[in-house]
Amino acid sequence: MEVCGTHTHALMQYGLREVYRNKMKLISGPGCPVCVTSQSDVDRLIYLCDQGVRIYTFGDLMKVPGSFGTLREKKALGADVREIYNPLEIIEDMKKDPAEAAVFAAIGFETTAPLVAGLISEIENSSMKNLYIYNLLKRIPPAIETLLSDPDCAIDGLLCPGHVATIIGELPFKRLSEKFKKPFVIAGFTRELLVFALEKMYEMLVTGVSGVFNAYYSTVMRTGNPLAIETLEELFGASDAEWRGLGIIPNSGYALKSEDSVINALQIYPELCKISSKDQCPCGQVLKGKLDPEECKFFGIACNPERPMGPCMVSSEGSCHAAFLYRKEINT
Amino acid sequence: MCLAVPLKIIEVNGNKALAEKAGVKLEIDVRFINKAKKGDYVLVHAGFAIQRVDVDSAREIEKAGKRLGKYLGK
Ligand code: SF4
Repeated sequence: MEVCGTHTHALMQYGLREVYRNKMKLISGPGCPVCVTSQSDVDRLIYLCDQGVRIYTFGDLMKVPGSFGTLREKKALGADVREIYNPLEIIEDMKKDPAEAAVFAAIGFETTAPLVAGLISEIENSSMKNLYIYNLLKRIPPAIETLLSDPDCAIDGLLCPGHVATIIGELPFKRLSEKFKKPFVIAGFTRELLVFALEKMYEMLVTGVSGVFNAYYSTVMRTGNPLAIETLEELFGASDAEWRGLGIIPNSGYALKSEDSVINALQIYPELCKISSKDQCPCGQVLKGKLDPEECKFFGIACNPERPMGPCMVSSEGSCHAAFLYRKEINT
Repeated sequence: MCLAVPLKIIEVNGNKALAEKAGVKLEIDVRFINKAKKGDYVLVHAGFAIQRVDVDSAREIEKAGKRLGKYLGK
């Protein structure tokens, strides 16, 4: 199983699933922060829009359907929703065009978390008082642990996300590999690096070896990026987080350490906690690798990239989107 | 969403740096790179350098980025 949306696409684009079909079945796990954002969280952001709060977000989240539409639709109807690339742009934008209140929907895994930490220290150092963070950051290792602890789990090995590992290093994966006695291979993104990682995975599976092999050693250091880890540890502790389709995973979130932080959106809008909703899309089964996108009864008909029902079809890195895009190549 | 591209640093100014790729210049943040300096290649994710890389891997990553980024629109 790979747990990185960029790997999902690369494996399909390079046709590697097919190449390895007779050796290993490659399945996609919860590898994209957009795909694992719960419907309740989208509904909460839409609620904030309705209250006249400005929302800043990374692009793909705009298209994820909540119970009553998407952020993009809200924007078309006049709500103040702004798409950003670099979190620090928000400070510039707020200076140029101040808002009464603004919330940044901070989604992301370990790769993105340090950037949000960077934004938080900039907010704290500036005199800005009306910019809050709705913290949806998540940690990958606890999600892997949950998947592998499932008694029905049929995953034999893990292809680890190269850029998450760039930040956290090899050690968190090593612990998991020891606990579950399965091979973990950290993979890069070029065709060559992916083939290298898959070959290594196959070899480890056949010989029954567990442990971590770093097949992206040009970039991933054993200890990750110490400066980024230090910043994360200073600002955040572990907290439970809700993953779409997987439910609440203990210690998989990044709680702000200072509880009464003025930048925590939940502190400013406590009513958000009361909003909770459920959707029909069986993405959870897809994310756990138990259902292939093509086996979903909505796939391609009621649910397609033009009219997605679930986030796996929305995000350009989602498994359903990738399966839809490359379906011809798969079927021929 | 964790896509990252390698860029070459051409100027450093505190936490900020100017980086370039194929003549296109971009302001990035280098607070997570120990002693970032002119000439370093760094892997950049959403405007922040997250790791220093050597020239060869920068080229490799760039190749993959071009192929994938075209589709992912990033
Ligand atoms: S095809 Fe659509 S409805 Fe089915 S799991 Fe994927 S995103 Fe959800």
